Order: sequence, then structure tokens, then C-alpha cells
Amino acid sequence: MFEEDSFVDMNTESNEGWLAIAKKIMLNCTNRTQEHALNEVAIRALFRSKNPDLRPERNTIKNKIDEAFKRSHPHWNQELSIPPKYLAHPDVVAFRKRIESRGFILGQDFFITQNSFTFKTVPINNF
Amino acid sequence: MNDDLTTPLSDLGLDEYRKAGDALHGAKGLLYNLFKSFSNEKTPRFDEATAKKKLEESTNGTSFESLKGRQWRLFFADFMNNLIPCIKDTEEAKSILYPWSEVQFLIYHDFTSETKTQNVILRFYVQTFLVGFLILQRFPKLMNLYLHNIWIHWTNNV
Repeated sequence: MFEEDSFVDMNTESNEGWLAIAKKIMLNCTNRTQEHALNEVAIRALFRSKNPDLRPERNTIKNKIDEAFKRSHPHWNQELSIPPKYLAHPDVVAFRKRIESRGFILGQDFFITQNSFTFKTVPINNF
Repeated sequence: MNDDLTTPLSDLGLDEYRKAGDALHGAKGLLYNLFKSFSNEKTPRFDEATAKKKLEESTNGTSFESLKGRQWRLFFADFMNNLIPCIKDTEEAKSILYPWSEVQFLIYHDFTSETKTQNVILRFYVQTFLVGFLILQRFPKLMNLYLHNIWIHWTNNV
């Protein structure tokens, strides 16, 4: 039975792989789900395409989302911290170990200060 | 593509892709569940009438049950205007919604090798952890496939 979330696993496949999987799925499902599968493949291809002419709707909604994001984040390089009461929580301790094992350094009572991060390196239109 | 299954992908400009986290389904699934969790809270009570009004204003949607993924992302990206007025304990809600909106922005951002700096990666890791952790503190039952996908797997793709 094909479900929308079946495509989650396709992230681990190559580009040729997920098309092949879609074809395999379509061999074993009804016409209605075949149509759904084809639409899903087409949508995902459009989202990943670098050709802007093929994704005008995506660009429109992306601009709206970016504008909304900017309204909610007038100072969006703010300090990241976690409430002190959670510092000894096993998940927090595990995360700290994991992140530091990757070569990152976190503060004692906060994770990142605003000075350690800037979005200037990220090219965001009109930001 | 529609019914065209014969034209080579290269002719359609669809031959170049990059593997990434499943932002589409992960975001839609989490945001639907997160909204339902907020709206089901009895104490403090969620203002459903205001939420419906904000839904129509911001996304042109008519029902939270039929929103597309992009409408969910738009609704949550403007959380200060759309969601915070509906939630009573605003500071705790902001502690979840603020990092989420950054995670959403970053997972959809088209990074290049030059722009994906260590600082960006660290920011994404920490924000993603904070989102998952703080959601589970407030809504322990929200640990499902979508949150797992975001919390555990998205960080491998940015």
C-alpha cells in the first residue's frame, strides 16, 4: 500500500533510485495511487530543480514565508540558551557530548551567544 | 512532468539534485501535530477563533485540516502574528516556536559550500535540538515519526 510517507525512505536513495522506486510502487497500486505517486515525484522534482521557470508557485510562497520569517525575527541572531533547570537533563547532557565530539564548543550555562553566529554569511534576499 | 514520461530529465532541467532531509513531510507532519497539541490544551485555553481568523488572513486557508505543507510553514513562520495571540503562556510557547522557525528557514535554505559554514551548522544543530527537547517537555506524546525524522535525521543533511 503506497502511503505519502513512503517517500521518506527515498531520501536515502540516489536520484535514479527514487524514480525507480516510484515506478515499482506504481506497478502494485491502483490508478488513483498511481496518479498520486506520479504527482509526488513531479512535485519533488520541481522542488529540487534549479530551473526557476518550473517552480513559480514555489518561489511565490517562499517569498511570502521569507517575509513572514523576517517579521517574526527582527533580531534573529539572538542568543540561544536553554533554561538552567534542564542543564542536567540526560538528553541535554547527551546532546552536549555529541556536539562536542564533532568539534564544536558550547558554553556552560548557555549554548551559543549571539556573537558566535551571524547570518551575514548566509545570502538571504533583502536581509 | 505530468503525463510526459519520455522526455529526458536533462531536457526538463530536472537532472540535477541534491540529497537532503525530508523537509516537506517532516515539517508538515510536525506542524500539524504541534498545532493540534497547542489547540487541545485546556489550561491555558487556546483561542481557536483567533487562530481561524489568522489562518484565513495569512494563508487564505479555510480549515486547519486541509492545509498544504507550504501553508503550514507560512502560518508558523509568522508565529508572532498568527499563533502567539492564541496562546496564553506566550513566553514558553515562544521558546518552542522561535527555534522552530529558524530550523524551518535553514532546512529550506539553498546552502552552497561557501555559505554552509561551521557557525551555520552549529546554529542548526542547537536549534534543532532545542525544538525537539522543548516540544517533548510540553507535549511528551508528540514523539512520533515526524519529530524523530527532524530531531535525529535532519541534522545529518545540513
